[in-house]
Amino acid sequence: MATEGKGDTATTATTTSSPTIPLHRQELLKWQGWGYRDSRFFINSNGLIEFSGSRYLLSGHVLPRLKDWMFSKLNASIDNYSPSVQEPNPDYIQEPILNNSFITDFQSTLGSTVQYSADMNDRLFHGHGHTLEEIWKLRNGGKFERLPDWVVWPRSHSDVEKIVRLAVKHNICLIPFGGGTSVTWALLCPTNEKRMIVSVDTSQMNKILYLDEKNLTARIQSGIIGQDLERELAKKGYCTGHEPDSMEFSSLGGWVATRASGMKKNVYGNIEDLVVHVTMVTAKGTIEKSCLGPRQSIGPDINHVIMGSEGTLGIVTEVTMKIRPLPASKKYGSIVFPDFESGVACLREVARLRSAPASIRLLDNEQFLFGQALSTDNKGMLHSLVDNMKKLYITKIKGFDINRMCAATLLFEGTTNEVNQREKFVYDIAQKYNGMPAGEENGLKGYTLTFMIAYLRDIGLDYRIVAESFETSVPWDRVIDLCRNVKKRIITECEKQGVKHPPFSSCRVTQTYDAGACVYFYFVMNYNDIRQGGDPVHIYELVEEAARDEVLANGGSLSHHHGVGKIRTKWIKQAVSDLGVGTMKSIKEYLDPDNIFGSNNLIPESDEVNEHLKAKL
Amino acid sequence: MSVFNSLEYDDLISRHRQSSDILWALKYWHHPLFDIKEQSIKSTKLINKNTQISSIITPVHYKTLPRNSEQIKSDVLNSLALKYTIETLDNEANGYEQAKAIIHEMSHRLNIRSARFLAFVFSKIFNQVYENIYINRRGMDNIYQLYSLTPINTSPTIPSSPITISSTLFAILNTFSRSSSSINSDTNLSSPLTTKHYLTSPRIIYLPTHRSYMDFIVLTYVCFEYNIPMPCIAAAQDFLGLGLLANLLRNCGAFFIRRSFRSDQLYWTIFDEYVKTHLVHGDYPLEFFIEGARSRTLKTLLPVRQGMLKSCLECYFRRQIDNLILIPITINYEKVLEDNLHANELLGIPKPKESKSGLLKATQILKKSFGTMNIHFSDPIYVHDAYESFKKQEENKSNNHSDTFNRSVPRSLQPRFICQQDAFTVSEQKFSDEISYRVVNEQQRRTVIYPITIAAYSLLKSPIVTTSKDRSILIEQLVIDKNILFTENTNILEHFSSQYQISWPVENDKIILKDRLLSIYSDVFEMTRNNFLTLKMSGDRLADASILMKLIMYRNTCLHIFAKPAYILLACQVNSQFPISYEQLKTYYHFFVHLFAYEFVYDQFPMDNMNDIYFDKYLSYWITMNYLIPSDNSTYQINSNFLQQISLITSPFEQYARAYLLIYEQENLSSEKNLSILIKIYQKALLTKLDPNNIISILASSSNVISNALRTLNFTTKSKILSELRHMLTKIFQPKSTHLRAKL
Repeated sequence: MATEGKGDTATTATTTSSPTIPLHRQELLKWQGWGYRDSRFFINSNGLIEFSGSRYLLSGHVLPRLKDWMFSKLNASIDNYSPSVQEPNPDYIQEPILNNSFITDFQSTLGSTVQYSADMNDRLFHGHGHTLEEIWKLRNGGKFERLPDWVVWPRSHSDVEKIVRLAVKHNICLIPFGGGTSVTWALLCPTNEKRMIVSVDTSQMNKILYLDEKNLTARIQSGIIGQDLERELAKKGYCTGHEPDSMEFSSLGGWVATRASGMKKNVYGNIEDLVVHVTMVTAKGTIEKSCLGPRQSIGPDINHVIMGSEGTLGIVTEVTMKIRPLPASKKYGSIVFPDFESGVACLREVARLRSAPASIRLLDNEQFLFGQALSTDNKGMLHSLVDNMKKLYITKIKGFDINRMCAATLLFEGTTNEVNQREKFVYDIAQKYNGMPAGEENGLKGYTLTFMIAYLRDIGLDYRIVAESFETSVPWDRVIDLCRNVKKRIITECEKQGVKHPPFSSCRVTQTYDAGACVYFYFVMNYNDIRQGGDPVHIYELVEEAARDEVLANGGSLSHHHGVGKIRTKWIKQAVSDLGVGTMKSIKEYLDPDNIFGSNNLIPESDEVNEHLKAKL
Repeated sequence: MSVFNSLEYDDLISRHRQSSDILWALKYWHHPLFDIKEQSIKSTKLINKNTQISSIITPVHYKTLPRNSEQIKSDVLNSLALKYTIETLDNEANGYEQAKAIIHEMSHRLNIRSARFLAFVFSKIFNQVYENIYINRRGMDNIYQLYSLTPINTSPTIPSSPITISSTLFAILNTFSRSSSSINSDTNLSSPLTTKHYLTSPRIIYLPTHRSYMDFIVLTYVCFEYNIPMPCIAAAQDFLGLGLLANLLRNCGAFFIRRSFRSDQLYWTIFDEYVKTHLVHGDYPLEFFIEGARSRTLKTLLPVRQGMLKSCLECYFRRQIDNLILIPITINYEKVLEDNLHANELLGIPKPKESKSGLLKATQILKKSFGTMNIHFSDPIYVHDAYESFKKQEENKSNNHSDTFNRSVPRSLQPRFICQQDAFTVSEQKFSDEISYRVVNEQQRRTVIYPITIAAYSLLKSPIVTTSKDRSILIEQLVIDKNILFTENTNILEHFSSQYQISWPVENDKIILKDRLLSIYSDVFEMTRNNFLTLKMSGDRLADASILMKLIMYRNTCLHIFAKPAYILLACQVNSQFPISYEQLKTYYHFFVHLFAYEFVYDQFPMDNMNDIYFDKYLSYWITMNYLIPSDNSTYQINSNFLQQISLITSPFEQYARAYLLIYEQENLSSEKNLSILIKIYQKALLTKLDPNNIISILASSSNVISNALRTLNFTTKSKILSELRHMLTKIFQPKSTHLRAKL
C-alpha cells in the first residue's frame, strides 16, 4: 500500500474548506429538479414570474415579460398546471439488493471512517442525473427500475482504494458520483445489474491538498465542486478558470471523467489542458503517471485514458491542476448582429485571428428575443424611452430586422491593458460584419442568465412544457448549415410527431476553436394537445434522436463536453469506428475484467449480446 | 369532356378568356419569400460590405436574395469548387477565361419583365390553341403551403381576382422602377410566422414529363399565373440554335447545358456549382426533365438525367440544405404540338435543326386546335423522409459487416467545397436511382387517357392494315373497346397504376367523340360512310408509316398500365393450344419483363433473379375475370370465349415482341460499339424493308424500339445472350410469324 498515507498527510497540510454541498444532498438541493431548494421560478401573487431565494443576481426579482413570452410563444396556459409530487413515492423505491458479506466486511474495516447510507432518499438522489427523462420520473414519484443499493462517502484516496478492494473481493458494482449533474444517463443504474450497486459519492473528498505557487499548480481532491474550488483558490489569489455552466454543483472528478469544457477555455483551456496529473483507482489498483512534467512523449497518454472514461474504468481521486493568478480586470461586453450568418462569420474571423476574448457566445435570434423576455422589472419611463430609441435606431436606421438579428456576449479577462486592447480589437472585427457594440450590461446579463437556464426548465414542467439542451462541435464551414438544419429538423419532427404548438428551437455558438466551434441547442416544447395517447417524454426522445441524427449528418460531433453516457452509446460506433470501440473495450477488459465499474456508460453493451446470439445461431 | 371538374381542377383558359391578356401579363407579381424592394439604401450598403469581406465563410445575407443572374454567375466563378478544379487542372491562366465563357453560355437571365412578355404572348397562343388547361388544385395548394401562402381553396380570389387598372398600374410601376415603396406582402402569408419561415425557404425541384417543346414554357407560365417563384430550367444546348428565341427562353429562366460532359472536369464543376448555388441559396426553384429528352414515343422514358439529380441530391447529402422537395409533374397533352415531327424522327427522317424558320413554320400549327392540356402536380416527395426510410430499409435488408480495410469516406469527412464526381457512397447512389425511378413512376400514375389512345388501340389491334376494313373503325367499336380496356379492367389497373384519368365523353356520347377525334386529329382521321373513322392513308410509303407511327405513339401513352398483366395473357395466348403450367407461365412472364425492361417503365427496374410480387395478383385477377381457366395440376388455359378481348389487350405487346424479333433477326450488321451509331445502322437496314401496312415493321424501324431492343441485349449479356433471346422469341412467335410471312 504505497499510496495509503498520501491522502492523510495532505489533508493535514491544508486548510479545511467549508463545502457547500452537505452529505445528504437533498437537505440543500431539490430532489426533483435543478439546484437549490430555495431558488426557483414561481408565479407570484401578482401573476408574474418571480425568482425566489437570495443566492443569485436575479433572486427576489420579478421577470414581468417572461410569462407573456411563455404563454404567447409556447402557447402555455396557467390552467395547465402540472406540479411535481412533493415527496418521492416510497412504493416506487425498490428494496435494495444487499450483499451481506460485503456489508459485514465493510462495517468491520471501514465502518468507523467511511460514512454510508441505505436511506431511500439518498439512494434516489444518487440514481439519476438531470436529463428530462430523469427529472420527469422524479416529478412523478421517482419510479426508477434500478437504484443504487448503498451510498458511501469516502474522504480520501485511501478510502477509495479500500472500498474498491472490497468491491472486487465481493463482486460489487461501483458507480462513482461527483456532482450529479450528468445529462447523459451516466448515473442511471443498469436495469439488468443483479449485483449490489454502491454509489461512491466523492463529495467529502473536497479539499485542496496543496498549492504549488512556484509551478502554479494545485493538488486537489476530486470531489470538490466548482464553486468551492474557485472560492478557496480566490482566497489565495488564484483561480483555475475552469467554469462550466454547471460549476455550482459539478465536481472536478466529473469534469475529468467526462472531458468537460469551461466557458473561459479561450484563456485557461479545457479540462484536458488544465490537468497536469491525475490519479485514478481502478479495479486492479491505482493508475497514475510518475512525473509532473508539462508535456511528455511516453506513448499514448494515460491521462487521456482516464479522461472521458465516464466512470467505467475507475474512480478519479486526486488531480494536479494548473492554476492562474486572479485576473486584474474583468469586463463584459455584447454585440448585436443583423443576422446569425454575420455573427458566425465574425466569430470565425475572431477565431482565425486568434483574438478571442475569454468567452464569446453567439445567441441566435430566438434566444436573443428570449433574452429580452428575461429582463427584470419594468424600468422607469426614461429607461424604456431610451430602449425604444435604441430599438428604432437599430431597426430603422441600421436596417436590422428584429426577426433576424442576433447577439453575441463577451467576457474579457486579463490585465487592464490586455482587456482594453482585446476589446477594441474584437469590436473592430465585429464592425466589419455589421456588428454593433450593445453595452456591458447586456453581456453581464447574458452570463448571469447562464445559471438560470437550468432553473427555467422546472417552471416549464410546472406548465406542461418540456425542455432540453444538447451540444455538439463542428468545423467552421458547417456551422451555419448545422445550426439551421438542426433547428429546422426539431420543428419538422415535432410536427411529424403531432405536437400541436410550434416548439422553441434555438441554438448558440458557445465556443470558438481554430478549426471549428461548439454549438449548443435548446429545444422547448409545449406538450399540450399532442396526438391522442402520445407520451410527451417519448415524443421528446424521438425528436431529440432525430436532432442528433441530423447533427451527425451535418458533420457535427456526438458530443463536445456532455459525454456519451448511456444516452448516446448507439452512435459511438459511428463516431469512433468499430476498431475504436474495440480499443476502448480492450482497455476496459484489462483494467476491469469483472466489470466492477459497471455503469455501462460509453461502450454499447447490447451489441455484444447480439453478436453472441449471432455466433450461437 | 368529363372528369376534370372544377373542384379538383382549375382551368386556366376559361379564366383567361374572361379577362384581358395584357392586364394579366402586367398584373402584380411578387416573390413570396423575398422582398426585392425592401432593400433600403442602408441595407444595400450592408450587403456590399458583407460581400467585400473575404472570409472562409461567406455569409449569405438574406437581403441579397433572390440574386440576379449576374450575381449567380459571379458566385459560381468565385466558388471554392471552381478554384480547386482550376488549380488541379493546372491551367490557371486559361482556366478562368474558359470558365467565364462556359458560364456565360450556360447561365439563365431570369427576370420578371421577360416573363411578363412571355406570359402575354403565350396567353394569346394558349387561348387560341387549347380548349382547356387544367391544373390540379391540390398540387397547387401543396406548393402554396411550401411557400407558406394561403391555399387557393380557402381564398379563391387570389388567382382569379379581377385584375383592376390600379393594381396593374402599380405593377407597371414596379416593373420599371426597382425602388418603389414597400409592398405589404404579409397579406399573402398565413399568420403567424414561426421560426421555420425565417430558417429556410423550400428547395423545390419541379420534375415534369417531357413530350413537347411546350413543356419548357408551360410551367413558367403556370408559376406566373399563380404568383409563385418561377423556376430555372435545365435545357439542352441544342436550343441555342433558336437565336433570339433561345434568348427569350434564357430570360425566362432556361439555362443551357451540353449533352455530355462527364470527362470535362472544368465544365462539370461549373455545371455542378451552378445547379447547387440555386439550391443552396434557395432563391429559385429548379426544373428539369428527369427523362432527359423529349419522349418522341410519348412513352415514359427511363430516368437518365442522373447528373443533374445527383448534383441536387448532393446538396442534401452534404447538408448544405436541410431538405429537398421533388415535385413530379405530369403534363398530358391531348395532342402533342409536334407529333408529326416526333413520328418522322422515329422513322429516321431527321428532325429539322432547331431554327427560327422552323419555329415560324410551327406558327402555322397554331391555327389548329390541340384539345386540352392537363397539368398534374403530384404530391411533393421530401428527400429527407425518403432517404431516412430508404436507410431503414437497407438496414433491415442486410446487416453487412463493413470491411475495415475498404472504408468509404463518410460525408462528414469529405470536404464540401470540392466538386467530386464519385463522392456518392454506394447507398447514396442506390437511393438516387431509386428516387428517380419513383419520380418517373409518379409521373406515370397521373397519365390521362384521351380518346385518341383508345382509337389507336382499337385501330392497331391487328398488325396488318392493308385492307380498308383494317383502316377504319366504327365509333361504336371504340366504346366497346374502351369498356374492355378501362372499365372492365379497373381492378387490375389499380395494382399497377392506382390512378389514371380518362377523358371521355359523358355517357359515351358518340357524336362528341367523333367530332373531337376528327377536329383535333384531322391529319390522321377522316370520316367515311356513316360512323366509320378511317385513316387518311395517302399511299405514300413514308407518310403512311408516319400516320401509323402517330397512332402507335398515342397508344403508347397507356401501355405501361397494361404491360405486366398483359404478359401473362400473352404467354397463354401464344400457347393457346396447350395449357401452360404455373412455373412456365412465370418464366414467360419474367422473360417479357426483362425483354421490355427498357421499353416500358415498371415500378422498378427489373433485376436478375427477380421474383415479381405482382405476378400472382395479376394471374388470379385474370382467373376471376374468366379470361384464364385454371385446370387441375395448376395449369392454365385461355378462355376462348374471351379471345377477342384478350387479343385486344395483348396486341401491342405482341407487336412489340415481334418487332424485337425482327430486329434480333438482323444478321450481325456491324461490330460498332457506339450505341447511337449502331442504332442508325440497324434503322437503315430495317427501313429498306419497311412495309407501311405492317405495324410490326414500322415498330421495328423506330429508332426508339431499336435502341431499346439493343439495350436489352447489353443489359442481359451477363445472363442471356442474343441467340438465347432470339431462340426464345422464335419459339414463342415463329410458328405464327412464318405463317404470316407466307401470307405476305
